[in-house]
This record gives sequence, structure tokens and C-alpha cells, in this order.
Amino acid sequence: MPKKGPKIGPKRMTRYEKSRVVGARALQISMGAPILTRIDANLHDPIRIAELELLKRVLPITIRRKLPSGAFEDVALVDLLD
Amino acid sequence: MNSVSKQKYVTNKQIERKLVQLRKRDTLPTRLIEELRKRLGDHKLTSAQLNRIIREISAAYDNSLVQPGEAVGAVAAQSIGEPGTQMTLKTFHFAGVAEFSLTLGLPRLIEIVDARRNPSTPTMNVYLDEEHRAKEQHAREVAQGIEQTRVERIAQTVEIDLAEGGIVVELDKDLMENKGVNAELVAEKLDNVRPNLGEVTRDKNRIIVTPELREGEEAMHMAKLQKTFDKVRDALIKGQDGVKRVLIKKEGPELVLYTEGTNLKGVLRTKGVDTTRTISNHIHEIAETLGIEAARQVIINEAKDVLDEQGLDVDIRHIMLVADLMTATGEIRQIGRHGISGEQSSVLARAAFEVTVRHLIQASVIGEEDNLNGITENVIIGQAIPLGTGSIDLFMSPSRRKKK
Repeated sequence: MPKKGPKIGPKRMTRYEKSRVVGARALQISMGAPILTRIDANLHDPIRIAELELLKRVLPITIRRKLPSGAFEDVALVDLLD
Repeated sequence: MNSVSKQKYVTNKQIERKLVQLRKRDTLPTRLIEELRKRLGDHKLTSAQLNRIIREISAAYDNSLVQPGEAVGAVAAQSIGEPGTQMTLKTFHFAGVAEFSLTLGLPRLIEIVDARRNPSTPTMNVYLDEEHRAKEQHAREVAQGIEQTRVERIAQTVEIDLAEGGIVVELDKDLMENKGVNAELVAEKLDNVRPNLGEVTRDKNRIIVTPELREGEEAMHMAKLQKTFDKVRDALIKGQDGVKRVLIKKEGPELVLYTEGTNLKGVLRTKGVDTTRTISNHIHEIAETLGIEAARQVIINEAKDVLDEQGLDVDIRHIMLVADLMTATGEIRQIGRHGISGEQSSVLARAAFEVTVRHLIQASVIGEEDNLNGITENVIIGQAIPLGTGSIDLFMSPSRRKKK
């Protein structure tokens, strides 16, 4: 049986979803949001930090995948990482 | 027992079952599944190997798909447009495939995307059924049945006989033989022309058409004679209306007919024609006779042929997108003013395209709404556009954080 995955869109995150998530999170971090994972003390670039958080699956973010018909599906970020 | 025979290879039956399963899952296109079916049979595969092959192919296919959010339309436009600029520099017209000329290159490409109703060089490739495709003589019979033959083409002279008040047609024996008709047939066809031309009498190869006098008329009116004369001269005796010329060409093992001028409907009804392969390059005609899906395919084929012929390598998916767009409504729409660009649902998008003020006034008069779903509208009002990263909505719920 095929693995369960999102009903709308690809099984994995698209490049646009990844950019969007990293960008949004990097903005938060740059404005002083608490970082959700342990990072190297020398790491100062908010974008790199956001990428790291994404890879470590600690971001509590949901992506809303929409269809032109108006139908949508909310997919947890971690379900799109493999 | 040796160890080799112990190894279990999958049987063709098992492969088949797997493929049927795969098709039901609907994650791979039929074409890939068919190719798998063709290639898998000859190899000795273990079940694990078979699964691996299918898994790898599925993964490769998934990776090749375009990702949601991609600006496919803009990419397609550029990918067809750039080679198009090279085409202009090279050539406009290209001498024909066989003995008649065919519009190719940029003019033809424009013709296709404009969905012209009267392409400048309509042609058909008429394939023949098994009985007729082998011998030249049989092929010629079919060709004669397709090529339009008018009185003018088989007559030595067509004249107005003022003394008798009729039209005299002097048929040419050789010409008639060439076209596969005889004087009797000509007389019969002239008699069947509606509205009636008048009385048709035949004496060997001479046919006289005498228009009937109307009540009260003493002699035949000159204008009426002239009219009848034109009708007689242009009367269709044999073949399909619109098919100006037919060429027989050998294509591999079989004979194929190429026509100048099209009449797909008529040709498909002609005996000896292979209706499954015969095509026309007239997109509207295809849509009328074979349906919109066939028209889509013709758009793709014709555009691809034009580009290939010039040695331009354009990915077929760009062309497919254009063809899909043109046929999506079930009718053929051109790209441009009277088609896709002019029929956009958004007022702002239409106003951005052409005659801005008129569109805006018209929309305000009838109270049109704009849901701002498209790209253009959002550019106009200065919002993030729904494309790429702009098409993604995010929600953050810190409390839902998973501890791991």
C-alpha cells in the first residue's frame, strides 16, 4: 500500500514552500524570536538558523495547500520532510 | 538441487499483476506503464528487483514533475518565443515537401496560435486501407475519388450557344479518363445540380444544358445564360469539394496521398481511406470532424513540426500547455485579443492587456466584480502575487510543537 501523504500536491515540500517557510521563520528570528533548537554559538545568520530548524523538524508550521476550486488541505510541515 | 534454480524469478503473470496495480494507483502515466510492460518481460528479475525498478521509476517521474507554484505559462511563452525570434531571421516561406508549397516557419506558427479559420496551405495526409495502400493503381482510384473534378477540368470547351440558348460542353476523352469519369456521369451530375440548371442532353461527348424559359419570356436572357454557364463550368463531377490537388507518394512500404486543400469529412467517407490515420492540418476542421481532443493533438503536432523543421528544440510540454489552453473550453480559442487574453475573467487583467479605459468603463457600468485571483490583478493593486512563494499560506501554532 502506498504511504500516506497529503491529498493535494506532491509528497515532499516544493521549493517554493521551503523558501517561504525559511523566509518567514528567518524574519521572526531576525526580530528576536526564541530559537527552537540548539545551535552553534557562532551561527548568526537568521536564514541559516531557520534552515537548521527546518531540517531538525522543530518548526510548528502548517502549510495550507489550495486548489483553484477553493478546496484546501492543511499539511503539517514535518509530514512533507522525508 | 543447485542454488541457481532455487532463486525465484518473477513470472510474466506477476509482472502483469504488478502493472495493473500500478495503473490503479494512478501515479504513473499510461505511457510509462506500457513501456515497463514492453521492457520488463525479457529479463530475469527477482521480486525485490522488480519492486526496486518500479520504485526508482516512480521516484524519477515524481522528480520530473513541475512543482505547484511554478510560473509555467511565463516559462512556456519564453521557451517558444525565443526560438521564434531566430526563425524570423532564418526564413519565412519554405519550399514544399513534395510539389506544392507548404507554409512553414514563423508564419505557420502564428497561424496555429491564432487558430485561423482559413490556413494559407491546408493539406491532408490521406492514408489508405490495406486493400489500396500497396498498388499504385488502387491508390490512384482513391485519389480520383478525392480530388475535386469540375467540368472545366475535363472539357475541351465550354461555350454559350446564343442561337440555341444553351451551354455546350465538349468533353475531352483523355482528360476524362485521367480523372476516372465518363460522359454519362457528367451528364447525370449536371442533371442533379440543385437548383436545376435546365434540360441536359447528351450526344456522345457533347453535353448541352438548356435553361428553361420562364413564363412570358420570348428568348433566353443573356445574363441568365452567363450565370448558367458559370455554374456548368464549375459543377463538381467527382471528388471532394475543396481538394484541389492530390499527390501519391511512397512512404515506406505504403502509398500515401497528399492533398492540397482539405475536406476531411468527405475524405473520411471515401472508400479505401484508412480513417484511423488520415489527418488534416486544418485545426478547425479537425475539431469539427474528430473532436476537440484531436484538435489539441494537431496543434501540438503542427507546432512541433514547424519548430523541428527549423532545428529548434523546444520541450513539447510548453507546446502542450499552449494547446491545452487553446482547447480547454471545448472550443478552439486563439491566443490573443479575440481568445484567451481577451476573455480573462478579471477586469483588471483585461484592462492591462488592451483598450484599458473601455474595459474599466464597461465593467463599472455593469457592476463587475474582481476576486483578485490572478497575477496581473495583484500586480496592479500592489499586492504579493499568487505565484511561487507568494502562493503559499502558512500557519504557525507554537503550542503544537512536537517534542522529540
